[in-house]
Amino acid sequence: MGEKLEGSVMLKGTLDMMVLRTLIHGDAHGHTIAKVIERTSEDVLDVEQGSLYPALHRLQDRRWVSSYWGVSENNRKAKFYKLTAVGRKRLTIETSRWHQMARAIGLVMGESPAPKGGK
Amino acid sequence: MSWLRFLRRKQSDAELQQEIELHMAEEVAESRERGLPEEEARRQAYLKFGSMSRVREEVWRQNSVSAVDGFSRDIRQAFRRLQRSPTVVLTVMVSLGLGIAANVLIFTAVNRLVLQAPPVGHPEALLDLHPTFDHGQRLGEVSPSTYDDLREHTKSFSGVAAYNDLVPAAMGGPGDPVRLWGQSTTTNFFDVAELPMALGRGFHSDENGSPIVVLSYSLWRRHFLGDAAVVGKTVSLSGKKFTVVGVMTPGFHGMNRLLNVDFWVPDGEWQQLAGDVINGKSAHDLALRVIIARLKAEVTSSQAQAELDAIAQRLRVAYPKDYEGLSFRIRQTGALPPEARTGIALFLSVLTVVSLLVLCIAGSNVANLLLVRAAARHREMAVRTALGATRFQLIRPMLLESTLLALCGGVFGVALCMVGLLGLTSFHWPTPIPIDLSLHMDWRVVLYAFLLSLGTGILCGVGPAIIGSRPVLQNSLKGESALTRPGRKWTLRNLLVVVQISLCLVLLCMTGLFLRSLDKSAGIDPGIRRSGVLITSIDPIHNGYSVEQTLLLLKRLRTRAEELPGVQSAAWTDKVPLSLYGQQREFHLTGRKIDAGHDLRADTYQVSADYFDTIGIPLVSGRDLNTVDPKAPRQALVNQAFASRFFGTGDAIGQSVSSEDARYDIVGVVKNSKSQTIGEVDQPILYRSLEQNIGLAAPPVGFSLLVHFQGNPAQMAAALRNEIHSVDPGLAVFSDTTIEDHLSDALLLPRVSAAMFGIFGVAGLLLAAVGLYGVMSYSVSSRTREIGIRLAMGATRGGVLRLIVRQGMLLSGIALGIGLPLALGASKVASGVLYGISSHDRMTFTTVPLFLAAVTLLACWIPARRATTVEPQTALRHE
Repeated sequence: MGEKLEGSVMLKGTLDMMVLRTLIHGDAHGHTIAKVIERTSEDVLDVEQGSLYPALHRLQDRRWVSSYWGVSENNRKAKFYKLTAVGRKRLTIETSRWHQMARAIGLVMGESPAPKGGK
Repeated sequence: MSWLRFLRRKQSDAELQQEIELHMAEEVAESRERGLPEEEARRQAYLKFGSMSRVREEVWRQNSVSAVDGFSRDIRQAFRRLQRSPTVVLTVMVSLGLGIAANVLIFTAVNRLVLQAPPVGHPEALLDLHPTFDHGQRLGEVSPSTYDDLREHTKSFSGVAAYNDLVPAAMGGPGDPVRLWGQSTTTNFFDVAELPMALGRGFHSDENGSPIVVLSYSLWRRHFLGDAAVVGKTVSLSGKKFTVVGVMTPGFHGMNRLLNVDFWVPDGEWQQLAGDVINGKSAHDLALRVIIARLKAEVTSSQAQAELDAIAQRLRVAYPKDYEGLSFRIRQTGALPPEARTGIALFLSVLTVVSLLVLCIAGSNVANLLLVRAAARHREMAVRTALGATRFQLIRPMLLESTLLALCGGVFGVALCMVGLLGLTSFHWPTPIPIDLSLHMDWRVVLYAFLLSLGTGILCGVGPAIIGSRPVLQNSLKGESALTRPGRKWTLRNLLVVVQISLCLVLLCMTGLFLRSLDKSAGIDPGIRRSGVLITSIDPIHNGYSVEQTLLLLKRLRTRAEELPGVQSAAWTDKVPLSLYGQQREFHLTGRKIDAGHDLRADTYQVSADYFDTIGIPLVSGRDLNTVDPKAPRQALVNQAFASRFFGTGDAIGQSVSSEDARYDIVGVVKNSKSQTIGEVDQPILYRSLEQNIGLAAPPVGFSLLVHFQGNPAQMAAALRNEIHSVDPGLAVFSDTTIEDHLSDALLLPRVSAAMFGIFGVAGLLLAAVGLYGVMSYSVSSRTREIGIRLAMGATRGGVLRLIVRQGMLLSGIALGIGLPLALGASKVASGVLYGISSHDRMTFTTVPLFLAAVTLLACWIPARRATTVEPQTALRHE
């Protein structure tokens, strides 16, 4: 897995989930969120940073995050995003679904001949 | 939520931009920390971020409601396109406006007569309760005690009230006294009807005998100039003092939608106004004619009907003599009386059909115009299709354009209709009772106009839009017209022309029929003098005169009138002929038993001496009533129709006939004349002496003095008015008019219909001719090249001309073939409203198609001729 996954290959909805996950540690502005995702995924998921903003916007529309204007670490005016209660609930659902799916995919990839050929 | 976002799009975009700027700044700063030079750091940041405008666009799209966005863009575009072609807008506005105005005008009448309820509270629960006899065939009356019975013992109704027919009265006040019509009501009438008061109050339950009056809003505005202090003042009604207690809510002028009631008094005051002169029946018997009842909320009208049936059953058993065959009929208050309904419904539906025809013709013109406009845009359409626009995206703006155009037409139409309403309101009805047919716009009419324009716009636009959105791409790229498909002969355009011409034929045939009918009825001899007679009416009995006083007054006024310079003769009558109503009585030969099969219903007139000379009905035999002694046996004259129906060829003079209240010796026979309407078959009429019969029944419409004179009618009318007021200044003088005006009023119905159809027909013809001309000239101009080739190959100009005209005439031939049977069918429906001609009037049905054919020929020939005069060289170069 040395190659980088391209943003467009990313599963639909995963970006949203990752953004929500990032915000669980505390409020953050767009740039921080991008950096956190980049770093925690060991630079594999190199999201095209621009696509983060429509996603944030979408999340805000669904009221999973809220936003306010604040001051960044470097003393710049920045828009901070905050996980809402609904968003928190959503994240739990999404996470468990993700785990299920990952497990399912893992099973299929690992034991694919099993259901066909029997033993 | 999404709407909020939609409206905040700009602000949200600005915020996003700010966010992105911050993001870039942070990113650059970070890279700089790692030691990259400024330039490189910036480049990296941009690379990492991706396209900024794409991000902004995406967010913008997320915030948009795409349908609304596209819609508003299309509307703006449509406006811009229409701004560029004001002639098109004007043409469509005028032609659709005419069609819509016609429809709205008719709908105003439908609304007024059929849809509107009187302004009572909860009109759906207010019922008219009619006693009927003979299995519901005859409307009847119940005694006051039965009314009390109904009021107290019915369980279906929360309230029962009643009002009587019209009572005339002269109201004194500022200026000359005016003659008005009022109603008397039970004291709970306003409460049961839930009628609000504009000023003051209604009647209290203990005020049945109090001299109090409620004024109509319009009377208050008209006669009292909207004086807010009118409540508590006294007014004089027929010489008696009444105290005004209230002013009725605007718009209410009686439960009957066709009458115009100006005041209401408590039922106990009816005698005061009606006078005591009428022999036989007591005043109270005549009062309380219509019962209204308010249905309880939880009771259905069929339950109420069941209860009434039970009551009727009980009454039939208890009073077999009075109430044989009694039953009760309920119907919603304010509905048209069933007697009038069929006629009115027929008239209105004929008019509606005709006005829809006009709109159809106008609509097909507009559709044609839009088709041409769509054709002119074929290249744009082809390009847009090639670029991937969907069908719907192409159709939508065109439909919007046509709808916008139609709405403009609707606005123009409503304006036009308002002008038309002003004109219609000025028509005068020849009836002596106050008929209210004033028409007004209200929200229903405006809504109808709006929906009609919307529908028209979509219908006109949909065909051209579909065709226009289907360009043949190859043709278009080659620079040829993209909308003409090879090998197709029947285009939408041809179809429209056929529809137009056939509809126009129907319309013109109807117009022709109505014009002929007007011509016929204007040509009918009414049998009375057509000029030189002045009519002036007074109503002394309802002004408090006794019978004897009335006779003296009439005699005195007649003598005074005869002494005026220029007057040849003067006479009194209780009824002016051709007033659209009659007082009919049954007559039988004296001495013979009453036999319903052979008895004769005849119109009766009470006339004074000299009546026949004055009105110009010639005496055939016998003598006039000149020397009648009031005490002598009653004498009468009859007309020829009466004489021949009763006595055949035998001599009527010397015979005597009886009606239920009196016996008459026939002393003379006069020529036939029209009695109620100008179109009627000659009715039997009996003229009896005013002096001898005045005590039998007071005419509800007063007495009219007819004066045969020479000179200026206005001066004569003023002189008569002076004479009357010099005798009694308290008498209200009403309906002074000349016989010319009266006769032309009597022709009102044929005149109105002929005028309507005339206007509609001419409008339809103009529209169809313009449409045909437009289509022909367009199709010729698009064939200019073909014509050039034909001419270059040696075709003669005459040959080409014939070719084009033949094709045009083929269309109109087909259209006439379709239209003629339609027109015949339509005229059959309309025959109920026609006077004096058959519905298959030969003259109409030969002239109109020929005329229409001539018009279409002209419309083809002009553009064809222009096309053939073009030089072949120019024509070939024509694109």
